Amino acid sequence: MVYSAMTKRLFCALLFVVVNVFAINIPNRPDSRVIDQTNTLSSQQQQVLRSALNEIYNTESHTEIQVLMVPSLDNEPIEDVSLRIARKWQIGQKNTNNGVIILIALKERKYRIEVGYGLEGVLPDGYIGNLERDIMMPYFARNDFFNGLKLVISNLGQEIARDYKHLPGRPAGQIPTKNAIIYVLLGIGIFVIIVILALASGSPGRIADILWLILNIITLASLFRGGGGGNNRDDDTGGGGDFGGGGSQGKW
Amino acid sequence: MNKQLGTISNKAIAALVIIGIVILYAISGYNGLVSQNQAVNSAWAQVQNQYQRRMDLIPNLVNTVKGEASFEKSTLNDVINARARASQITMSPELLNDPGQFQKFQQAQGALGSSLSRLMVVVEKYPELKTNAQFAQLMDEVAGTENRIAVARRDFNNTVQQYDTSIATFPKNIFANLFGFKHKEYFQADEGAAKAPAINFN
Repeated sequence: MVYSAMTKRLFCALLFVVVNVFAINIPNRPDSRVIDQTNTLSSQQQQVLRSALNEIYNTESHTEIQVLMVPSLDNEPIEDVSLRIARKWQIGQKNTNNGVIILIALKERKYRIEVGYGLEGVLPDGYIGNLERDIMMPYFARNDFFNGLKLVISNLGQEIARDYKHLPGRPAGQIPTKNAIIYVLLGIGIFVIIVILALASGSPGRIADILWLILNIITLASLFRGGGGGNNRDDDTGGGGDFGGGGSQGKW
Repeated sequence: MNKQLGTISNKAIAALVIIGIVILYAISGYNGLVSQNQAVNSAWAQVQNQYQRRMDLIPNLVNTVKGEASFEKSTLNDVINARARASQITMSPELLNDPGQFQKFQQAQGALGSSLSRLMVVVEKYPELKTNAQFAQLMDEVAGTENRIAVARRDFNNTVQQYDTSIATFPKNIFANLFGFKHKEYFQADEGAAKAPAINFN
């Protein structure tokens, strides 16, 4: 029983490594809201899209939309690629999770709009799917990526502005800070007890020694501190927005 | 420093210090486990949300498809029955400590998933449904929900594996035993199961 659990875990760890080896390499978060690795858009066109995206970012909701055009998905499902990029780049703000990523893969002729946790209510999958079918599909089929993207972006901006009231945080809460508070309180309690004991010992000269010892204990304890659970994402180069697989995708 | 011994001897102080270290260490170990346990529970809540989302979508989907008079009854009934079976298992966190029940849960949800994906394949044969904008949106929601389930499950598995490793490795296993942190179940890969043919559970 124990053995089988161990093997299972080992197998999973191995699988994880294997999956990671074959996955596309994702670069660090770029400075620009429009990244075209395919040289499809002219720099002027990119500039137009970029300023449209900046305009949306500067509205009340501060929604962050990222456009990414890649030559190929390297045989990975588009929803996996877009989620990994979205989570690595952490598009959107930490508390509101208001990020959107528009991913276009030229070779596979696939697109996906990945919607952050906080925007799932404002931009439901059905709405995104419609947007893709009505705009992206026909425009992209004519190789008019610029106007397709421009229209999609302005639609997204309008929908967010119209429907935006408050952006809820991540549904199932983060790690509560209560544990940390209890930890601190206990530490203070022990500290106080030791000080009282020291005072009661009737040799005040020793208090300094004891305080020094306590400091050491605390340092030691913090070294041993349990590695908390919670977010074990790749890195935190981005704004902090999280994604849960919302959005829609299609082919042109 | 050795001027005089107080009412408490050096030995007693040393003992106190050691006890203090042990207590602090135990507290930090315990807290680490608590927060990992908490992480597992919140990841599980997310899994639960997404499965519930799928459950809630199905009546809507069934009603829309029923409108298509000629639609294959068996495919539709499979979905309805699979949903009924899946809804019989409550998704409480206690499920994670019960391997047998957890497996049943996974099978029931797996069966529902595969019946749904079959439905989505069958739908392709009905052009009237496909061109219906409302139905297309519903399909987006179903696809989006399936994706969310996959994401939530993956996140959940990652957190559980961290937790399980924690409670099984020295020295945390001591506190885990002491405070009753138990091994938790996680999802086994069933990538193929989603596309597998009909599973009969009678």
